[in-house]
Amino acid sequence: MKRIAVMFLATGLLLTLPSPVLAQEVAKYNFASAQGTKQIEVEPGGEGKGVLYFYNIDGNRITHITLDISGAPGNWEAELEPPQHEIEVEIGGRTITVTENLHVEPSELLSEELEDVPEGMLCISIPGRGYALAKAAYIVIQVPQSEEIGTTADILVSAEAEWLGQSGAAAIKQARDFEFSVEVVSEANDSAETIKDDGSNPGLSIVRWLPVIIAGVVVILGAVLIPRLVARRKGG
Amino acid sequence: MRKTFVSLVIALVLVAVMAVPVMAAEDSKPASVTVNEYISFTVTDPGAAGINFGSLDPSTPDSPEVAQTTTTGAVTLSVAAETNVDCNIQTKGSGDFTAGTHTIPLGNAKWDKDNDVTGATSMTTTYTTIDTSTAGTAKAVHVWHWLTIPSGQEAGDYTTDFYYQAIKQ
Repeated sequence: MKRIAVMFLATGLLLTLPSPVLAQEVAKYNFASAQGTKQIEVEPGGEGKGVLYFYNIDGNRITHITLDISGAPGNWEAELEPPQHEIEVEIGGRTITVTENLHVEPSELLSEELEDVPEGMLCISIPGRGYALAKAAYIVIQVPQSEEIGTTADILVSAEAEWLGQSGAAAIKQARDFEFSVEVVSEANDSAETIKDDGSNPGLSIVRWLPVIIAGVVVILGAVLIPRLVARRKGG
Repeated sequence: MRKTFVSLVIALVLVAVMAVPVMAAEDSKPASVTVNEYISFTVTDPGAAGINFGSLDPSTPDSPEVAQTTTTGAVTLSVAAETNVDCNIQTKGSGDFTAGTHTIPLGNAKWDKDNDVTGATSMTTTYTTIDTSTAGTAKAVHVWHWLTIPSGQEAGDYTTDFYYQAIKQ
């Protein structure tokens, strides 16, 4: 009985101690992104959106991401969602303030698409590997009503990723740029085309149908004339 | 009269059949697709988190990062297989190591792809390409670091940032 009690006590003591294995786990700082279409269309007076996805299936530390947008003409509005903001993080027994647009916690690679996705996240496909939980950042472009149709601008979103809890002479960071091309389009994005005067030969389309027309005339004439010729021969 | 009418109907049907290929040849629609761009890049950092050179004396040349070994660099840079663009794997420093008003030039830090400081490249504030990766293929590169402490360097805790990136070629 005494022996069992000592065993339970020892086991309990061991469980309360911090795991040396976890504390020595090699840090993996993963910065992973997915970008779909790089084209953003926006109507005069309206807004258009681009999107970036960030995930973290190969890392074991929270990736804090800061985004910056540049390249928009001065009279355009260019914003990021979520915007830059401060969060308080507890690390190493201390509370520190971090400025970021979003952060992505390490997550497992999924073999199939999740139906019940946590709020604020999406489930995206990772080509050749499966699926992953991700967070989205939106690039919102607003142009004035007076902007001309066909105006274009190249927008650059600069991302910087950092990880907390680093010490020593140099902290490790990553950076990545994302390009978007913005075009001002008409309200209905009407792709119907009206040719004013292209100077081309109006007879060209007739030439294309000419064989059919000739054949039709021959067949119709034959249909009318042949029975009459036959009847005339029979009559006399 | 009736024969003429029947012949005319047959003729019109034949004309309509002959016209179908001409009409069909004019029908076309544009098709397009966007292939999403994936880049996943991991910096594996053995030992204490961050790039550490420990406690050094002035006039110490090419001191290695404390966690690197003969086979494992200060960091391992990995491009994941879902990365579907050719990439340059690069590094740079944000600036000189600083401790208050005192500095150690960033160029006193070096990097190389093998455990041999001879021929190592000095760190700069502009990106330098370490290696390349091919779209759809995972790639891992070890990077070793060394730091030289100048003669008479003032005491202090000097810090800077090292950036690593996988950037589309």
